[in-house]
Amino acid sequence: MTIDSGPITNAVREPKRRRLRASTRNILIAVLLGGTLGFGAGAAHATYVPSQIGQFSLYGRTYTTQATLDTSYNGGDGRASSWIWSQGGSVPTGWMYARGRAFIGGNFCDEGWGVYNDTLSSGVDNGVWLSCGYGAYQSYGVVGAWNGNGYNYYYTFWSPVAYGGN
Amino acid sequence: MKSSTKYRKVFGVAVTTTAIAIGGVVGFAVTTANAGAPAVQMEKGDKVDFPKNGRGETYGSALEARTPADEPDLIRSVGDDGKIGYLKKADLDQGTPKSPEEAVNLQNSRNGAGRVLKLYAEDGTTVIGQRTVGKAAPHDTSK
Repeated sequence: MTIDSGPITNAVREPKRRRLRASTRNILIAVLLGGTLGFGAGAAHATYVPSQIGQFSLYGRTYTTQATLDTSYNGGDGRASSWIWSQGGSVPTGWMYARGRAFIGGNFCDEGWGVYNDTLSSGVDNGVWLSCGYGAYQSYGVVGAWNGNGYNYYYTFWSPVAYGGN
Repeated sequence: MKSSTKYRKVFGVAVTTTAIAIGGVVGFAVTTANAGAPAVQMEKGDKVDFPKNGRGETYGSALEARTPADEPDLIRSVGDDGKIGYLKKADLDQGTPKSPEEAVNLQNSRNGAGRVLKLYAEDGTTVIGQRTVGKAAPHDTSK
């Protein structure tokens, strides 16, 4: 007696394959759902979110920079700040510059009066309130340094988005 | 058979829950993480070609500019009343000193008060509101 096992085997395997495909799809959907929830929760939860640290060299000095966003500052008023530091220690008066900027929903909200270091110092910062109502803010400022013949200005990196403001 | 089906369902729920948890943890960590090594600030992508209005002025979000010098002529902003419009880059300009001494003098000459700037429509001429900028927050002492 000869048994043609081919079609029987395929018939058994096909539902298994379908279940496997369905399971894989469900897992992917679940990971995406979890990721979305995680991103949302992170943005809603964060109160102090710094940007990536930036770096540039000018006139024999190397500077590091950063934008920070603190949505819980001053009882929830919130503040967006920009920073610049000289890696090699103090630099002469007027060599470093920082101007904090706040953005809401990708739109410019506010910026501070830019500040230069008015004494021999190794860092300077400038911040503004989150004054455009409650929303999704980002901190993204302008920093600069003396190049020996004038000033070069750069952006900080963007801070992550965080919800806050008044 | 019933036991097998029940087992598969329980297993499926467990796998799905684990997958959501992993995705959630990764998503949360990415959102709140502080990036590590310093990056050179010049390397921030290609220059953006902002659209132009009828007067040839570029307009858009300053978030998309690669450097401060690349910002559009009209910067998309939120007015004091929440209306979306544009601030002129020239109005936001705070001057560029020629020396460190001049920089400090320029800084000392400011009274620290906010500035009220006109908020324009995309055409760069129609005034639709105003935006108050420059109300400085106090220094951060956390660093």
